[in-house]
Amino acid sequence: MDVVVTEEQAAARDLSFDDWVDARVPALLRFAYLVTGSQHAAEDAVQSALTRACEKWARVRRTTDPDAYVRRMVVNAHISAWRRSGRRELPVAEVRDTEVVDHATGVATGDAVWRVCGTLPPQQRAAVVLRYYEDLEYAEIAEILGVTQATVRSHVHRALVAMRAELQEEDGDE
Amino acid sequence: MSEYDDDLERRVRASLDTHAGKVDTTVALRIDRPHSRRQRWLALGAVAAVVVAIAAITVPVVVLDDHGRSPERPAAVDVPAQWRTEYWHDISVQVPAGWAWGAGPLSRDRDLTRCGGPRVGTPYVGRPIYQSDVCVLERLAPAATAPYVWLDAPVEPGTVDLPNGYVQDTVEVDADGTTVTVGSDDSALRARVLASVSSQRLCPSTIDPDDPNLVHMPIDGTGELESFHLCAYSPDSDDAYELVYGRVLESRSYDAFREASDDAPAGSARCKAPPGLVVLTATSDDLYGDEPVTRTWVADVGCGLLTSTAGQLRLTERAIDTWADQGLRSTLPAFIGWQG
Repeated sequence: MDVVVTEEQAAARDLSFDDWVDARVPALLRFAYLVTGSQHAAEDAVQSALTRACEKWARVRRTTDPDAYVRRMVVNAHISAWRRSGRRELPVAEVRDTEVVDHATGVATGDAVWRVCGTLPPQQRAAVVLRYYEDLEYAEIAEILGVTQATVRSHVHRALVAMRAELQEEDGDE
Repeated sequence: MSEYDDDLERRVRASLDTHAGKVDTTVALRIDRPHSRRQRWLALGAVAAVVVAIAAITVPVVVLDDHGRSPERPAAVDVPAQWRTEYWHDISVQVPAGWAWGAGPLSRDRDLTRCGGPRVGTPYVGRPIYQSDVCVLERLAPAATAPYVWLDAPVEPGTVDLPNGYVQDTVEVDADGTTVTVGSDDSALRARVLASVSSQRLCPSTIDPDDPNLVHMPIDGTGELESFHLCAYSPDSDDAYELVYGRVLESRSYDAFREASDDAPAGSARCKAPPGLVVLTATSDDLYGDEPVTRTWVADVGCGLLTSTAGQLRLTERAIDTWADQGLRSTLPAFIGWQG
């Protein structure tokens, strides 16, 4: 089967690790922030992922999509850290009552979508971010998360149901 | 998609875009370079040039790998066709594949007793477990008419002549005093079974159920599956979780297990149930390295919980069916139920 390689991907193969990182870190940090919900956690996850990628760069850069590899590591690094911290999902009501504060800006965020994201387990949250921020297809998301497409669809569907309910409640209050 | 769904999707995208814009992308990231023992600081800003500072002392960076473990591929055991491998604590032994799983002798009030099956006349491998509330003194049990192997029976090493031409051989196989007993009227069978006894490398012989590293996965993701196996543990009289059963599974079991469990709903906290933990381990190629990588799940069968790195999920019967064979169901108290 021929693998279609984009110009961007082909160029990545010739890039040194440093050059690739220079170009990609801002986007990775934004992605990691959306997955983790925290500036600090995003930095940790990206650092872990890049350290790992650096070790294996000779092989990683020859893949069709180094971005997918590093994004997968960002998600997995966050999941591992999340488990070790013993964290759990928070019900939306609890998040609302606690007034979620965005540590990056110190501003209390009130939108329903972000509130619901804050309650999702990391893998499910990553699926939502990959779908609606990175605009990936379900097959690509499944590859990154290491799960089946059916699982990805289920993750996204359940998240949307929760967001729809939260938005309806928010819209009803207004 | 309906107009309402379009609106929902638009709001989701808008929210994510807004929050993505809030992150500080100019922070200095710390990337530990391999081989050089140097630490590289990467400072990003509007300027494309990279600033590198070489630290005299390397500050360790947390690399979230599979917890420093060097995963070994499960030892490839040469098992002749029509035979299978049984695992118990530190040892493995081969028995004919068609044998049943039953209860081996236990020591009670300085007597040997057996609490469970199989039916008389059925060849079996027995473990010192409670399969039933009904216990029979071994000295009062009918004479053996089918061969058997006992793992870790409280029997003195040596050879005993039994009725029906049967001979029972017991050997002590390790420094902990673990024994293997084989009873049969076929001397070649006895010799073959005893010759197959060895130190097992499939599973850790004990686990700490509260060890957070029990569940792990490789950060990089995994390549092609190399092997999938399970290790089952039950607490002993000192509450130490020791290996009571192990089995190498087929790749189709892995596929079926992933399909049955990946999107399972969240599970609740631990409950009070007959104990038994099953650790499932998938060993795969490392896509970008030379060493294999492992991913593990822990199934608490009694409480219906499956723990993965993604959290605690409900352990469904459908998921259990992908890896639980008759041997496991006959051995783990969580399947057998409260006894004794």
